Amino acid sequence: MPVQFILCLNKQGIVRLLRWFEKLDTSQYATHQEYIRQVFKVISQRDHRRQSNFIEFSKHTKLVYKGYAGLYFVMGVDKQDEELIYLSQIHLFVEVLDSFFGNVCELDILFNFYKTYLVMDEMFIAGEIQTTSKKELLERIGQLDRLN
Amino acid sequence: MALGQNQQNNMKGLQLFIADLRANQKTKEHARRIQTELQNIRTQFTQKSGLNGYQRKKYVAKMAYIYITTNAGMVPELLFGLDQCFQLLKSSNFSEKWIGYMTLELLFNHAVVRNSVLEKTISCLKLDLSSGDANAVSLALNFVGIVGNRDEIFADNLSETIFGILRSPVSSAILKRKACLAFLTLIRYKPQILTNLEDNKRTLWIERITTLLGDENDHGLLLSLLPLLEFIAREIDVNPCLRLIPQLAEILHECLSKKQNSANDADYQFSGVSNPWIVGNCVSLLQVLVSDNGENLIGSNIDQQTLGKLRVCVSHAVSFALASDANPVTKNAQYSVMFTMLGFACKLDPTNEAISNSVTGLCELMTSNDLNTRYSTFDLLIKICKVNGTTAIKTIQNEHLTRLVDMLKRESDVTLLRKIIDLLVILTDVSNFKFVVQELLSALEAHKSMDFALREDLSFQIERLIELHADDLNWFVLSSLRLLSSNTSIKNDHVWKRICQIVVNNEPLHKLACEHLIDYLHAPNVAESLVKAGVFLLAEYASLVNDKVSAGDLFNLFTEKYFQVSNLTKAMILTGMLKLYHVEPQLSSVVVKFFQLELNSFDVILQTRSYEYLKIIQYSKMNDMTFIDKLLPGMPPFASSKDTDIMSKLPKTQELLSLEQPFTSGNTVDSNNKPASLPTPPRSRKNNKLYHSQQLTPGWESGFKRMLIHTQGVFYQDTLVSVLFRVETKEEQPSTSKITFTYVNKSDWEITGLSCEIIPLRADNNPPYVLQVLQSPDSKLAPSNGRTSYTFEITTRFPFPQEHASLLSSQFKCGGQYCSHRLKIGYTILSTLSPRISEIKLAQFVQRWKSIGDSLGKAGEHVDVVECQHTNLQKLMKTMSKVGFDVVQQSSIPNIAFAGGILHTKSDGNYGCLLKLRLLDSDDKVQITCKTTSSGDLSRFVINCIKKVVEE
Repeated sequence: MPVQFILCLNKQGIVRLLRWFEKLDTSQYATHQEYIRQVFKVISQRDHRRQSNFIEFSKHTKLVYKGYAGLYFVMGVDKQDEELIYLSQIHLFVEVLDSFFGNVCELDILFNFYKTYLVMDEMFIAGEIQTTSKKELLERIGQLDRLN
Repeated sequence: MALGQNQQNNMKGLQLFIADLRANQKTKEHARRIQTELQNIRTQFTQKSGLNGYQRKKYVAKMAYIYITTNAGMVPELLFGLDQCFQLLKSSNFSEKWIGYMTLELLFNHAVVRNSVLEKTISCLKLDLSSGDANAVSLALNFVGIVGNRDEIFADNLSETIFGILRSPVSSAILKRKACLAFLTLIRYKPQILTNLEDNKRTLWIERITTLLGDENDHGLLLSLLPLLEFIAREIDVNPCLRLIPQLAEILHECLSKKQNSANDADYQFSGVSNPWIVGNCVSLLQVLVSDNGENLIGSNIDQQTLGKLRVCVSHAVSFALASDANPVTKNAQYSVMFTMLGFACKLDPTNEAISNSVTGLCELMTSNDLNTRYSTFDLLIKICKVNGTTAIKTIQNEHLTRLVDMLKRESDVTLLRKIIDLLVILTDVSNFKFVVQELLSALEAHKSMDFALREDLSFQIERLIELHADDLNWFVLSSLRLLSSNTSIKNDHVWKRICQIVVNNEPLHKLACEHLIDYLHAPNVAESLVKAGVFLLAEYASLVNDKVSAGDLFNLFTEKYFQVSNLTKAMILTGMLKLYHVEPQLSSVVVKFFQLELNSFDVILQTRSYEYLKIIQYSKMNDMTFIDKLLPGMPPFASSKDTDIMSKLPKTQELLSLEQPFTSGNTVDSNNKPASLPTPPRSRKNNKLYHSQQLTPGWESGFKRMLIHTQGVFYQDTLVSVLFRVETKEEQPSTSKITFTYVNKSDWEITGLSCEIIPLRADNNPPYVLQVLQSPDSKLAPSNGRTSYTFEITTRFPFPQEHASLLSSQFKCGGQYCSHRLKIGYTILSTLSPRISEIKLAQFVQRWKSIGDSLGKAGEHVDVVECQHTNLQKLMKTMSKVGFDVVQQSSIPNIAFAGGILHTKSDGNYGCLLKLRLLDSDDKVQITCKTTSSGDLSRFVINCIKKVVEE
């Protein structure tokens, strides 16, 4: 099943990246803003050393998340899905960003948010991963980034 | 310098704005700065002189940033900029177009945006999708892949175009995979794109997609293609995908058997281990293709080799994960592969031993130090228990139940706790329910800090277990009471009502329940639902516990609780007090006093009730004490348990509750129990639409005819490939034949993605013949004369007409060209003729002919005339002999050939068959008469086959 959304939040709960691959189910949270607030609340309350990286979030969704320095990367996935793969997926995304920006930090993503979306779109559409080859991705993104 | 630090496309104004906002996050200044900027952008956009591309891009990017940094909170304020967004989409400059698309993708989350620009968006997308600039096409495909599922307008307008990009041989790999996913987005939203196509067209479209799997050299495409195939197999039609199983097995095998860290094939690798995404996507497609219990693996379409390969994959995956101790990232990927494969393994080899082995192996991981591993272990165990039922459950019960219970006590992570509880509930059956329920109750009491939702859930689970195994009524009541007392927040009224019903209906329980209730009610903080049950039952049966507690004491107890509970319960207490008065009339003064006090209640119901009860007491005291006896005759037994049937209240989405019963259940289980939420079996597995929707390749008749007559030869050929056939009929069981098709590559290019499938008339519902694949062909054929074979066995169960013979469907790619063939296989009822044993004499023939005529009359006979020029008796006799008939060697009758033989079927037995072929001198015609020992259509079937054999 595809990823429902990808979120990147800092430790204050401010969004740095967001991508929804499907219509928001408004039965529980009326707006994206509320939804995000709740995601942040749930994640920030967790004890990251003594708890797993998975949370059952709503009827249809569980969260797979990982904290990197000042940022949380979160994916919303289907209840039936196997979580570990999404953890690898988040890690791959961060690795690609890291190679692309060179030791990526929150500021890179903040100031170059549009470039970060460029990376994201070459990796994930339709909630599926397109390629896992870092080399190929970096070549492609580098090339697009240089286009005027 | 890292790639991303390239300054070329930076927008200075944007950077300043971002820095500004960041400097005063979470202050009022922040909001003000945004407002000023919005004002500025608005002014810029309305400038008469217009903006240049760079400025427009910069301002739109600022809007996108405002959207993001306000956590998607400011949509209405940004609507004014949509027009400028579209200006950017129309730009021929990539970075401008890109910023336009990116911003629109974000804003498209919101209906207010979508509704105002849908049409406009579609026309932009159409332009870009047909553009010559690959980067523009890719941006448009991304857009569809991200938001194409928000409205059907995308599917209606763009699916043809996107499918065109997907199938075009000139599209680049990147475009193809984006097209794959964009197309997937569209059909997920609107499967009718495919289901509403005409049968032929749909078959063709799906075929085009399935052949893409042949492009094994581009693994990027593989990753995108697999989810698309999975969706088609699951939601549209599984049949055309079944043939992919051998190829998928090969991919998995490649991926898992590659030596670790061999740098050659980076795509199959991730952090030096097998690529978990390829494995994950392959397996989830296989999960759809392989039916539950793997019966269609063993049944027909899969050869032992493929099955063996898949099993090897499982053991590789497990050994990798358990052997190395790598860094966490690698480990995570390895475990992911292992869990995926183990989840599949139980379908692959559903023997009890195999299941219990994998379960035992998994249980070892329950104690892993890594939380995520532990979590996934529980998750997989739950899945296995659901799919494989008893065996898995028994294994865990026997070996690990106590360990699980132990973990239940210690686990502090709520997510994990939930999984443990789910697993325990699945493991509960008649043999251990008392133990498990006690443990779960203790957990409920012990984990006071457990979050609310989980407590609620856990109570619900316990309640269900108690209900399910409530053969022992004493136990039922005591456990339910304990459940009620331990959960102060339980909202569901069901439990206490159920207790009341059970107790009322079972006299022996009256006293027992009351005694326990008194103990519970004396505790300081009593759950309200317990008060309800207590008040109801104690008031009803107060006389039974008189030796322990007097009615007066009960009255005091009720009074005390009265001020701690909600109005609904208060009303119940008032009734309870009236009943107490009925039991013990001496209480009248206190009861009356209490009711009088409550006349002043704020709640109108309580007020009314008090007033009424007061009047009842007064009336009965003054007139007739039997009045109250008549009013309160004692609780009659409840008629049916329907109203409070637990199953009717199940929240439908509870994962666990949708579990099909693997355990024996008490008589309280209702048939409302929803079926398991396991993957639904594909709808179309069981029809023969597939057979009838096949368009045969022109020229198929010659191969079909050759196969009718000969046991080996050329089945089909064209400039690229030739297909040879060989039929071996089993001597000991002539109803079964082994058929081999050998593909020979005649071209100078490699053939890739070869996949073959035999399409029978139908595979179930009493099929006339059944198939078993013995060997699948390789998917690649070397240039000039590379060859591979496809072997299967076919068994005739009962006679069938030659029109219904099975089809060979094959597809492959060669030199960039896509080819597919549909050929009818010349395996008919005639193929079951048993090999000649002895010669037949004319006299014998005549005698048999007569005896069939005597017993069946005209029923076993059929006559037809077939045109065939340039034939003579010798030729006819020779042909019939090749087909497998015994031919009477005679020269006394110059214009008739006599032939006979035995036809074999597995289910209907054997039939004798006699033929007369008379040459009509008039105009090169042959009259065929056939008699068989079957009164059915067999003679007609035989004659129709013979017609195919002899006609020119």
